[in-house]
Amino acid sequence: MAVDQSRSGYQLDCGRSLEEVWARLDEVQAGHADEHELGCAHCSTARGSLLALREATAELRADRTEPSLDLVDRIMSAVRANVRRSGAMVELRTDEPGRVEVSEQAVAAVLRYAADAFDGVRARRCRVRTAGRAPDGATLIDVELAVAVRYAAYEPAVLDRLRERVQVACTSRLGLRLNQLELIVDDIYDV
Amino acid sequence: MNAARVDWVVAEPVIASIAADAASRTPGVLRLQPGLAGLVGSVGRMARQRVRGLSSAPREGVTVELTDGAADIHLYLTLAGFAPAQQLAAAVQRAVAGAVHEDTGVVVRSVAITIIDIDTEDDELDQQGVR
Amino acid sequence: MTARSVEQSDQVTEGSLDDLTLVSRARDGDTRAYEQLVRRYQGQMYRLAVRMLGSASDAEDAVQDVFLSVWRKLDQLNDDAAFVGWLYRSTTNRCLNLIRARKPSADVDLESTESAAGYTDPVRAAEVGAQLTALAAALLKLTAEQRTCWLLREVHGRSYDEIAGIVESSTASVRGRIARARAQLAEVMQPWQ
Repeated sequence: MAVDQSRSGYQLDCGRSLEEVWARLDEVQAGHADEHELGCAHCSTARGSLLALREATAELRADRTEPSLDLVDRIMSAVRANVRRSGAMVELRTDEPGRVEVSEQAVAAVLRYAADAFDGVRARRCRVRTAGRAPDGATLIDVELAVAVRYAAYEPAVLDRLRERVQVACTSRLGLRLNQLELIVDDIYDV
Repeated sequence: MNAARVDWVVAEPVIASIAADAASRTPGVLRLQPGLAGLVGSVGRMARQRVRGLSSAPREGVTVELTDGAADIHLYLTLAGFAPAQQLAAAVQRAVAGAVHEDTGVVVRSVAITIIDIDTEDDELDQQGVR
Repeated sequence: MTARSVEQSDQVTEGSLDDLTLVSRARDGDTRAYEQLVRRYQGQMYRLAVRMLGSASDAEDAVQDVFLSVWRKLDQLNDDAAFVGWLYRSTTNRCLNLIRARKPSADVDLESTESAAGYTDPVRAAEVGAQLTALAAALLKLTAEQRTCWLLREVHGRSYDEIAGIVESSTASVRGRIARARAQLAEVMQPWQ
């Protein structure tokens, strides 16, 4: 295939540009070739190459070569060793000598899980902050929880029950006391 | 004084190992969390290990400080989602203090626990009796 | 309450969470949510990297670096919906940097180094289609910038605007690079006759 690259737009010897040939591939394939296209050997060769390229490109696009099976593990062990420490710690009351604390992200994980167990609710963002101490020594926390709710499941009563569920999870799963819960409906989905 | 210091360098990893074993044998503890103790990355740990000439790696996810013959232990843990975190942490504190004292005679002054993560996915596994 | 997002419906398969949910959780430090994102996108990024770098092991290293650095910087992501675009940008930049770093030695004998790498590489050896093999080899002879633009457009279906953002260039120059890449690739493709 002879292509003159010195001029702009890759011109074939017949004067047509390669881009033109590319743009009209389907037209010509469908039998709508113009007179020039019917007779021009340059165009015909270029079309052949472009069609071959298009076919090989489709093969490349369909290629599903996967990386080694252990790549996910390698990535995740590097990730776990780099657990972000941006979040602060929430103290847990204990009678034993030594401080016990739990990361805000672990608290968030438990609360998200509690919300997820709810049919039609998917927990998203969850922010946890220490808000002081209850008279009995338990730590108080403020929670901001954003959820996506399935369209069909969305009604105010759902949020009330969700609130209750989060509160119970705080106490029974973590030993924390919920001071304030801000529930945000972030999104509605339907699946 | 000098002799005592040498002893402690050797003793700390031993205590750390015992503490780690006792912690990980407590039901509900999934694993000790590496890479977090003092923010020392694995490269840092390897370098430190070479400097000290230790043959075995210090346990990951646990630090031990010996002062005046008593140990302050700090564990970094990932817990399973089914376990109530507060009670489990207290159980680990007792198990670790007991095991270290019993096995080494060293007095444990405190066992601090940082719960880095709670693996809620293991919850389901447990309920299905897979684990 | 925001309007229902358009993108999520096609991402959601039975029992799996949508990207937006996973990204917002990962931003909160949830490693399990991030692992699902890694599983979902590592193949796509790997296939881009393999064609960019022409080596399976370099591609895996690049993908590993990308997912780790994205994890580290996840709290800087302003728009959760931009996650995939961000992955493409990171993977592209990582590959371009690797190519620039190894350029001096490759310059000595570009053609033979590359075709040698091409044939010993397990990825390429496994390719049965002769056309695909020819295309993969021809790709490695393009400039890295042309290859990037062509792959992102023709194989990964990214928009011209997005590609311009990724390679920090104008849309016009992206179109130009793709046209040049196409011309050069077409030249080595043998039509079936």
